Amino acid sequence: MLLALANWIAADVRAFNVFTYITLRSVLATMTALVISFVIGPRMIRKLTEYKIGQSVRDDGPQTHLIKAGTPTMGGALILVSIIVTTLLWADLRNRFVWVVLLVTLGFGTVGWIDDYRKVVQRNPKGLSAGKKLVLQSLIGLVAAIYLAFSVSAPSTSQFLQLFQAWLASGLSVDLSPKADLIVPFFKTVSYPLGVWGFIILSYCVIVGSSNAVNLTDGLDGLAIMPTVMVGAALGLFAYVAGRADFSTYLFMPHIPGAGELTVVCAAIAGAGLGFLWFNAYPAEVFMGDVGALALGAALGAIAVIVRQEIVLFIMGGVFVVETLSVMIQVASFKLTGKRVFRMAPIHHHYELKGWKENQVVVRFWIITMLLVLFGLSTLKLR
Amino acid sequence: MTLANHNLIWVKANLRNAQVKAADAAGRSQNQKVVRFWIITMLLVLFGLSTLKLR
Repeated sequence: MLLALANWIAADVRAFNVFTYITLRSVLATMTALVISFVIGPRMIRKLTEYKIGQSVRDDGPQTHLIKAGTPTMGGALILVSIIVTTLLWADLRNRFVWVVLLVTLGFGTVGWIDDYRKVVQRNPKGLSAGKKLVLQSLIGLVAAIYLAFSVSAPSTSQFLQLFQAWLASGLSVDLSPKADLIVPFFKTVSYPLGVWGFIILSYCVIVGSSNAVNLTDGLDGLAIMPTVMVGAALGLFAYVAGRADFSTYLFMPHIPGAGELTVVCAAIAGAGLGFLWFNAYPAEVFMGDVGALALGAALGAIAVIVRQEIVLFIMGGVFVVETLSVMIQVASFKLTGKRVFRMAPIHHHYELKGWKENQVVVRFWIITMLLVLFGLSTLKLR
Repeated sequence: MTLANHNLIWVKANLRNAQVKAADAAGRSQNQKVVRFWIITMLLVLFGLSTLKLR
């Protein structure tokens, strides 16, 4: 919105042309999201406390967590409001990728909201059943994946429609451009052609998988949000490079016209995340709940699909991956052999039970994420 | 053990508990302050980096 206003004023006052730069709008987006969080945060926490929207703590978890019972939850709504308002203010709203990420974020946030609402407000301990949650996530993920399969290959909306119609007319067997291939990091020219169905399946797995991975990681104060901020900021850099024809050619990355605008969205995610961390740092005054965790994970997944960095997301989001794997391994091991691999899953509880303080686990996981993000960013140059 | 000794031990135990709780509360709020200063530093670094482009 502000971009449109600045462009209108720029007709008379040339200085306002500076707002066309993605870099400036990204910095302003981060600060705007932060300010929104600082303004709305305390009020939201007061309202959540007033309405007794408090976290219930599982009694089979670490005993030190029992003190968290009653802490306001569903604070992810604060993050979503910050991201959406900031993006609407600073991003170019003519850009279809911005809308895809916003709608995916909102959609997954709504699924999380329904689950949290049933658990916390309606006091239904089951919330949304795992099956229904997966169905809703899959619906949104599939629609996004199908749209992105064609829009990543087509630089404009009219070409997207032509490609989509060609796919339907050919009996669902049209080839996509090399931009839609799976990019293998560290190699200049190695990429794996996915085809339409391969792209859709991979994108679906990335979006739904990262959404649930962030949700599983959200178990300690600040554990999920800081890695989300770091990975989001790094994806913003990838988006900027992918959107620039000169940079992407120089760095042997696919040029995705329009992807650069996602830098503004990533900056909004980073700013909103830091603003939320202000209140979520140990001891947390508010938790994000499923509404925040599912939405943020889906946003990261959608952005990674658009900028064609799925494997790099897997690397940078290593903490999320390990947390998810620890749960899968624990469940599989217990069901098959009756024995546990970890003292408790997800893996952050395992380290707590080993004697690490909660804050130690959180900060050490942040450090690991920082290293993984650096490693992921090095793929820009190491080819 | 005399009654006086028993009472002294009970007072010392309660004082120790209160000290542990106070130290714990101070540690918990100290962490929040530390993280909040980190967030402020991150913002200032971002602002500083923006001077690369905003000229």
